[in-house]
Amino acid sequence: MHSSLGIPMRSDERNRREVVGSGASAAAVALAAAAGPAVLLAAGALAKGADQPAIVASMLAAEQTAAVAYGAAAAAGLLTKPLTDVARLFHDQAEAHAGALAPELRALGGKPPRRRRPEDVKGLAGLRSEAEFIAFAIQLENAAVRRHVEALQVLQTPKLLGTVARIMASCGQHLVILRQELSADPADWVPDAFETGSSPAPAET
Amino acid sequence: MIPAAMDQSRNIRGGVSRRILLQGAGAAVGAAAAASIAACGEDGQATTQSGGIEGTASDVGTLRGALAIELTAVTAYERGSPLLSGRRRRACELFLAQEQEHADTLTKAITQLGGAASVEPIPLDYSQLSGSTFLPLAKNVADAAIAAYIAAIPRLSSGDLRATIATILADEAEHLSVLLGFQGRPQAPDALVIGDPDALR
Repeated sequence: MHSSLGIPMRSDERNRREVVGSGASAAAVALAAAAGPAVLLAAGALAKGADQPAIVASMLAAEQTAAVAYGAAAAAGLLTKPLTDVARLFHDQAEAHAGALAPELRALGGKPPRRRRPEDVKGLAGLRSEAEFIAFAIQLENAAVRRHVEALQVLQTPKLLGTVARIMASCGQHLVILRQELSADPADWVPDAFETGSSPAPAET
Repeated sequence: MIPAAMDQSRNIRGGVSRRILLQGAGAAVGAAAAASIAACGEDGQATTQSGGIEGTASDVGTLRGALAIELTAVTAYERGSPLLSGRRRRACELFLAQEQEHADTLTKAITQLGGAASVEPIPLDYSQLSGSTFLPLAKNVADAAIAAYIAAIPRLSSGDLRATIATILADEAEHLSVLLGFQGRPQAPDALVIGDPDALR
């Protein structure tokens, strides 16, 4: 099964496509097919009449949430040194993403959301192992990718589109690093030719 | 090795860069595509709708530029993957298949928008290609593709096209991350990934 542009779609995506209707875009269908952490905005919500400031505010909130989650994980003593370093790097980069989106939001007349706290991040407190952290982080990054794909469909400002594209590419790189923590098989590192944020975490090998 | 004459025939103006996407692959635009683009208008305002996707003449040019880059990547991986072994080879063979998927998708989009997908890869010098020189070359191809896609996304007229290109962009960024890791380099060096428009110059 392929989208109108030839993007391979999984069977569950096909079913959702049938529900959504033939006019739905491939990306929107792929987005609707994926699930993420409850703390993040449900896939598809952006397209439901959200205006540009609301979309950017949503992305900014997600980056703030990711920064808090990675920062808390790095500080919790749960992770080995290499993975702690990864969490710190991702924390810093999520902060940078938020820092890039904040002025864009203000330029659109929006107000940045309040800073998140670790207790705001659902599921974070329950993490008990490195494997759980990695799976959580993969969900976080997948949800971010889906959000960015959806935003790119709706946003219009060229500078903002470029910023979101750069952030989405960064999320893809985060996903590779996380997948490599779980699997030594290159096929698991980049499982799809089109990164839609819908690939599950690879089985640990 | 690519024969010199063949290299010369692959006269794509401008190399891999923002410019190639903005100029619609330059001299690689064939007569049929040019006629199609002219019929749609040069200002990018006219909308072509065919096969379920929307786009403008400007979009066709942008997609043709992207296709040239993907075909370049396909050629590079075809030549370089056999020189590698182990996980490096498996990864690059996977990337070859994924680059071909990108190229197929772009070809379909261009065709559906009424353009001609007869695009040539950008000529690269493979004369010194070896197992040790291929990974840096592949990294440069990925860097160039990323830069080109980031330049292209704000210029595409339809949300569907932007979303599709963004999923390819992220995949290229993932390739880059793996390739950097193979070279012992940081795999996510930048919070805002920018690529390198001059990577293949």
